[in-house]
Amino acid sequence: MTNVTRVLVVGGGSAGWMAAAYLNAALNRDEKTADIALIESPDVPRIGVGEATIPNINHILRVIGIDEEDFMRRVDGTFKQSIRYVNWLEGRGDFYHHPFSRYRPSPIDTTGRDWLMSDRSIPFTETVTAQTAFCELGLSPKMVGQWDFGTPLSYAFHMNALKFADYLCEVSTARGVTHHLDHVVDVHTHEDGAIDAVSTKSGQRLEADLFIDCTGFAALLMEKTLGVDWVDCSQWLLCDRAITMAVPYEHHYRGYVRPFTTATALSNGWVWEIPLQDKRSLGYVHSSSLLEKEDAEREIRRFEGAHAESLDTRFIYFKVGYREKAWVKNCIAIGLAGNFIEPLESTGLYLSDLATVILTEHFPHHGDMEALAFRFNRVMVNRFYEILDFINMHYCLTRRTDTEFWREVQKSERINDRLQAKLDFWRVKPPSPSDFEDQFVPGQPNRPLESRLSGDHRAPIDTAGLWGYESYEAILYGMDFLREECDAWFGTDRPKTRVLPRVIQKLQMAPQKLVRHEEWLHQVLGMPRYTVAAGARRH
Amino acid sequence: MQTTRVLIVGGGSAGWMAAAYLDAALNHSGERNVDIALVESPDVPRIGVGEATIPSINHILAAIGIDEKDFMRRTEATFKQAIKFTNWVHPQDDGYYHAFGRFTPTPLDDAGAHWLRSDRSIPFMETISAQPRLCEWNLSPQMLGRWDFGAKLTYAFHMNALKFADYLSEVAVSRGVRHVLANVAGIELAENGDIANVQTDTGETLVAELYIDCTGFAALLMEQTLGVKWVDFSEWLLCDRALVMPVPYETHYPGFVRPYTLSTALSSGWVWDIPLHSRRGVGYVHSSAFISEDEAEQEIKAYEGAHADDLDTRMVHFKVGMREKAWFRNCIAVGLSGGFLEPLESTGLYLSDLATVLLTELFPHRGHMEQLALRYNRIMSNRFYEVLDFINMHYCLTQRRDTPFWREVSRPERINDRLKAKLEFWRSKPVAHADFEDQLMPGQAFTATGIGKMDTRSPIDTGKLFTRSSYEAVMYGMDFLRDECREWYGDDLPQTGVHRRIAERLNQAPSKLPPHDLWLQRMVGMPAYSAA
Repeated sequence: MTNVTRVLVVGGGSAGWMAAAYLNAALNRDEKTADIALIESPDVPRIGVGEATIPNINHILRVIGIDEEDFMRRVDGTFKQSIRYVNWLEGRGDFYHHPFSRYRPSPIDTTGRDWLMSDRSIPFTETVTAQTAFCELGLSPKMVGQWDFGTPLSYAFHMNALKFADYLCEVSTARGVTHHLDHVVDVHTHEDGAIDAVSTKSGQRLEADLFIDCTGFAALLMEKTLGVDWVDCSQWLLCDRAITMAVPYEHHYRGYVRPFTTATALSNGWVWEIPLQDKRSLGYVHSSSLLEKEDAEREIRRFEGAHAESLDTRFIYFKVGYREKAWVKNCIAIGLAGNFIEPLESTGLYLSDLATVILTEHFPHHGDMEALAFRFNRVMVNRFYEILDFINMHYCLTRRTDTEFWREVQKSERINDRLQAKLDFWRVKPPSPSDFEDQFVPGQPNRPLESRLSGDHRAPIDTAGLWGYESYEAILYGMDFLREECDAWFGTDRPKTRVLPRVIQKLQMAPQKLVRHEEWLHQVLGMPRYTVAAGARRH
Repeated sequence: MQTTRVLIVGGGSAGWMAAAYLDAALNHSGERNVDIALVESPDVPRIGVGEATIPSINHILAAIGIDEKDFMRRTEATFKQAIKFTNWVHPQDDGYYHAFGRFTPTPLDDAGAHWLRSDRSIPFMETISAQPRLCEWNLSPQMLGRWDFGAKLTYAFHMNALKFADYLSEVAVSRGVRHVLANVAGIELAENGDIANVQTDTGETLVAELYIDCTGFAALLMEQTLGVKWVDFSEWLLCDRALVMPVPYETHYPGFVRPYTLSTALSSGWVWDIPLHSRRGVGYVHSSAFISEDEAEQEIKAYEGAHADDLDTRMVHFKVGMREKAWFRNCIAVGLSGGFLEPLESTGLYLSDLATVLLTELFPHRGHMEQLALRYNRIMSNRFYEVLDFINMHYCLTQRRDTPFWREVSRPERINDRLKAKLEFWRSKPVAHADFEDQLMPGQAFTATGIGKMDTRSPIDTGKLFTRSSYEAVMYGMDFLRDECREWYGDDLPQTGVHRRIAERLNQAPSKLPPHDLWLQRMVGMPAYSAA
């Protein structure tokens, strides 16, 4: 029968344990085809903050076979239906949502065009989904009892990433993944350069056919052993540091748990707000060259309010970019060892999850790694560029000029060539489905394979697999894109914006169906009822 | 909003589909964004045979706003749930199905991997779709009453393409499309090389901002006027002719109406078998280099049986390939003028439908033709190559060596480079989802101008039409990876299992689904015939 492939995951953060649990579940369903071990240092602390996910996480949970409510209890999970972007356009309280669900009227979806032809009196996403309003109303995306409210709402989770790793560790070791708590002291290679084994502090020598480097930015195997380069993308995304702060509900509870992630633009970047069951997690993502540490700390405390003075903060350093090849020889970098993009669209865990899913598809059951690695690297790097463009777009559509940071991000050299060409094309024709089958648009140099678009080291393919026109519409129209163009095309006396009738129906029925998010968490998961802080503002 | 004038030249199914769809899609909610006229010769006969579609046709009907049953009555349409390919692997085999619907197990669809690890005692498609059995039983994919049989079955239609064009013409004209019945007498160019106007033999000068060339292989505007070249694909697909023969039910009614297209391989090509309300249309697609007209006629009559002896046949000539640029200046080629691939996967009408849908998305409301054309041409040519590879694969996986034709199609130089690289890769790792996000595979030649021989796009290769489930249907239907699986998993393999959901569905099917012919008789007025 099939030979069993030995896999050693090096590093035990959420990337490492997700890889171990998923590969074990997906590859050993009917028969054992992979023998998985994970080595994790007892000395290296995990990087873990409150983490937001996107709906792909549901695939991971289902394949591993995890019960949703059990998962939420164990990781302090809450629901996430959207990201709310505040102060990104003008910086004066403006906001828009990027919700996970929306209608696509059939047979032809003209909602984007209809909105462009209207007076924009209602924000775009509110015309195509009830989820934006559900978020503003603080409602849970699930009912307390059995769901009977039509098509289910898409959602992801906020969770404690450390607890997620612990939980996955428990699940995987119970199912036969070997867990070594030991420190890697040396990496041994074959003559052909492939990795043979790692040796550990306690004197073990661990061999495997396939090594997965989940050692974070250190990239112990990928960079230190195999010397694979890091491709830096900081030209397009300036932020390289975050200052994080947890606000325990014991200390200060506002009386509600938002069913969405908030990303509020500040003077030199933006702050995430991620609600868990026992605390809110905040992090001010900023550029170290434009903002001093003390100023960042002052700003995040001011953002949170007077009660934040006594809370601890911690700095996290990061670099935006990706491993030139995520799979080299018999080693694959997953997690920070493979790539990092700032968490503005919550793609951190997603990129690890994608790497794991694609590895399952391309698992080297019969050796022959080179062809599989070629494909894996193309698909991964393509997705990285897709995310890079999309995040880049959030910055460059701003109209803020109040600080050097916001003036800098609008400069043409901060907008990558691919994105610039897309934006130019969408001024000719607003985004539509076929744009994402092949994202090569006019204005991008049509050069042979050997040459490259600036900052782009792939052969020129540019396919979208994560975000289609729906997401682009949410951001572009949330950022008031094509305002002047529409005045020129359709005149200034335009009809009022209309909401899809189905959205209105949904909103009318919602109060009988959906409870507030914190209420769901109390009733279903047993989240404690905290005392509301004096003077806490309703949102 | 300004109104853009569109002139469609040619009134076959491509022309009328473009007219009806563009009108419906661009002039919705009472706006008048386009003004459409179609000029059609009263003298040029339409090319029209019994035509099979794929499920994308449903989008076209829904967007135009056509009632399904009305459409079926008017075009003699029958349901199509699959294509059955018989004698493609061996000269006398049981056939395999490429069904439109299949069950996708979640969260992980490893049906293909399961089948590969089994003894293949049940064909792949039957393990994952109820449709092959439903087809064998000649059942309708629709119930007589209200549907209460779980997930809908995916289907398309067989129809009379001439009647379809007439029907669309009626719909389009009633909604304001102008119909000019005249011959084109002249085409005038503007100084910049755009088309300036089209003159008719009735003395009219027709002016538009956008011209759509639906004049078939003649390509009156695109080739004869603008000189845009044709890219020939005959190196990969050898067939260039079809001998067609209608078999009226009055002459011979087999006693059932198949709810699928039957494609049977013959000595030098294959024959389509497409049922309508009053007849079956059969057509022998073959290569003129391998078989004479007389031999082809003998063979198709032998295929049909003794009752075929006095039936008329007609030869249709075609060329496989595509227009180098389907959109050039202010002119777009839709239909045969834009490209043609043999109808083995019923993509003829689909490629016209795609061209029309894509044009709606990229419609030049405010000029900018050049930028829009760049995108249009990339996506259209990408899809042509996708279809080419998929059809090419049907031939090159054959194990037939019984005639010069089948020996020729299995030679390596008849397999294009992209497909070769894909098949090679799928021998190291079976076909899976991510393979279609980007189809550039290891081993594909990287050249300065594109991928492999003849392909001059910059290298993108995205799969949207035929993705994993279709590839699995054909490859596993054609017994792909047999030797490899033996090597990987040994000879002592477990029996192939059928997915529980499929078995349940098949148990219930006879009490839910009527015979296809009965449904047609009751619901859309097909006459009752007595079986031969």
